[in-house]
Amino acid sequence: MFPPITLEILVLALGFILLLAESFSQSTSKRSLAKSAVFCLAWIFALSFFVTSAPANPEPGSFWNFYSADPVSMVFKRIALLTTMAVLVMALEYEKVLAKNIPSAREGAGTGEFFILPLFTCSGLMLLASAVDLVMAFAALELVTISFYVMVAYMRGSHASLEAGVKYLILGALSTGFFVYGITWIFGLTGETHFTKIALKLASLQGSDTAILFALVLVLVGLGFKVAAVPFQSWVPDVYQGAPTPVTAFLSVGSKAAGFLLLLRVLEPFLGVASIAHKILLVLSVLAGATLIFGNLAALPQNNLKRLLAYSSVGHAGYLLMAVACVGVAPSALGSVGATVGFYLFAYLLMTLLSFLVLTIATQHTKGEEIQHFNGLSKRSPFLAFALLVAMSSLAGVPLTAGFYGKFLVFAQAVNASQWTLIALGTVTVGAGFYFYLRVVAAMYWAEPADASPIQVSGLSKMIIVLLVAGIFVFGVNPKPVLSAFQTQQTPLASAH
Amino acid sequence: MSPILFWAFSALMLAFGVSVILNRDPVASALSLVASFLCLAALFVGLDAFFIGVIQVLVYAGAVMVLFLFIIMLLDLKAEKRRSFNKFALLGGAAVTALFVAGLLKVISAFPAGAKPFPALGVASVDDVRQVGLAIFTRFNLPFQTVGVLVLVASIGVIVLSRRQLK
Amino acid sequence: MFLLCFMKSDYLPILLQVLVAIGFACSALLVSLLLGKATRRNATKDTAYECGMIADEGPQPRFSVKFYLVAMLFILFDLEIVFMYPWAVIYKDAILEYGASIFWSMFSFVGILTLGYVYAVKKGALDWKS
Repeated sequence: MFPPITLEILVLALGFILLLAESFSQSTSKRSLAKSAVFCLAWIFALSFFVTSAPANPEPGSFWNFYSADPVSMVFKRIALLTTMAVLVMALEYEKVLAKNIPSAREGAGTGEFFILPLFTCSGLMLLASAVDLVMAFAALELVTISFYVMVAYMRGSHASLEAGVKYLILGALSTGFFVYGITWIFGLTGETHFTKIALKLASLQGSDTAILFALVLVLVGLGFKVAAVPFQSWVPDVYQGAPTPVTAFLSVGSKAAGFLLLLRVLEPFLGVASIAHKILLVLSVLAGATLIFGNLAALPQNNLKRLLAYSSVGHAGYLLMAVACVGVAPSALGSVGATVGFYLFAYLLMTLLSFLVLTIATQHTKGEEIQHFNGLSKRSPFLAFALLVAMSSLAGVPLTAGFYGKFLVFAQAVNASQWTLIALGTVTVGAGFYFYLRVVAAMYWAEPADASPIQVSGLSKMIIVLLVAGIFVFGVNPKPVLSAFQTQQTPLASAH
Repeated sequence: MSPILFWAFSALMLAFGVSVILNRDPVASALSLVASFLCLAALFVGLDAFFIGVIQVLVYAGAVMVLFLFIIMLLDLKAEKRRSFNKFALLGGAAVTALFVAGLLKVISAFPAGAKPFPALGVASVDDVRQVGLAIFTRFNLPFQTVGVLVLVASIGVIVLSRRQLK
Repeated sequence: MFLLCFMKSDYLPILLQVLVAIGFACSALLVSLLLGKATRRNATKDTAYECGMIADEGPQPRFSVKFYLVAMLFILFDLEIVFMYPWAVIYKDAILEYGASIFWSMFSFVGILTLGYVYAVKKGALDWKS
């Protein structure tokens, strides 16, 4: 048993060691870097089940003032670790495309960093999962964002990747500006940066409702960019399409999970202010409704699979926001919403990583990312086609998949909160989702391939795909293990002092 | 800080900020930004935040803006051509700005604590540099180390993205 | 009125310095105008010297990307001053009061950045020739 911060330190140490290895090694193949990273991350993941809990009364100078180890943070840490492992496996598959698009003096040069940067992103995500202080949350969020800027623009030879990098940088900087401005307003109102202390101060502030609401709206705008909520989603399609595919997967899972966790943590103190709670919920409902409609309807005419998944990512942000908008007015209700959002994100992780992994492998052989390039995939590789079938069905919400159970939880939450408008919108958009996700399936199974040569899948990727497919079914049928991980004896609020 | 100085420096800062956007010549824009930063530093100093003021001059007006000018001059950027703007985008931008300013005004007018001035700070027993130092090194250690990792990632990014031939 | 505000808060030296700087710049311009006869100009004077073509673009050549790389790395390491300055100011007092933690804190921060430096050196980012 050891303190949970050891996990972050181990991930960082792994990153440092691999960076030094990359600097000093003469070998042209960097694949061993990625493989050792995946191997070590798997060990760190196992270690995450053997950590001690937080002390009841931390000393004033101790890191526990910024850091919590409640079950929710631990689950998000594991989500970060799993995602990073899958992304590294994807990056291995993607190596050839990557090497073609970067100017290197010798073979394999410049690909090593692509396997190392995700580790730093992962440590940022893990720190963010535990952050209970705005300063800490901001530092961790920036660590995540800055490493994403680099990874999105990584393929310098590709015009699309550079354009995506610039777009992401400019809109990311704008959103950071809003977020920081919101933090300064919160600090100005309360004089605190710790979430628990902010909650105490906010509850006792009299007659400052507009100022409190203003501060929260600024923070919401900043986080809206991160989770791709409408109207802050304009960067998503181009960035997702232009970025290297593994980075797109990381962005759509990691960035979203981080954004939603932070959103829940920030909302908690504000929902404690009874006089503005209903206004906050109204704002959230409007955001959720707009995101649901835009994400799912704009996905309908898409022909590029990566772009389709980008719009689908916006759509799923809509369902997640719908769950958040159903939080009760009392702060204690955040517990159940936390579990719903957490499960949905976990299911989203499984199916999104699966889609992108299949996409990464298949596009090396299909010469394109349009849906028509996937015509007849079932004849070229029944294995990949079945995996993508499972991923698409889960994204659409076919029963017995994790995606279905996630949506079920969200709708149950909405029924409890009597959010009838959102439920109606949600039902319509789920129908739209069936259409555009199953179009991909139809292309794979009912269209003739232009080129019928079979596709080989490497052993490591095969293993990860099998695990992800199994995960989608196992947690779709029996979601208890994941849900119980969120059942907190102590809410995030109570874990602080 | 005397209110006259506050308003003077604020007005100057905003004027230079507008001039950053309106100038067609990138060098003139960059120099206006330097001037704007200097006025901001003066505001910080006026609020007795000497350390932040010094950092503002050293890092922003100094290092960062030198990099800006460096790149502008080395790339030999010509004066920006007049572009026709999308009317829709202009209107949208104006609407968002107006909404934001209106919101800000409403908040400030409805905010009771904003009406009366803050009590003057007592003469501090330790100066602000010490206070910043004590805060970072005795309390905010974890975020501080995170910032270290962030700078490391940024330096990797700089090399990966701007070296002509990676090796 | 302005002067009064400045004097009140001991900013007179700074004001004087600003005035001296402005005065120097203005006088330099004025003196060169008066002595250098720069005002007496005509069309013939402004043309290029008789031999050579009239240039149709500016004289600045394009520079290598190396300059930006070094400049950006400089900024990243320059940022450390934000933390090192207050650290150096409180170091002596803090080490007596709080023990060696302040030393190790900066040690690990600089250690992390040194990794970046080692990486930059090994990747030849500071190598001017290649």
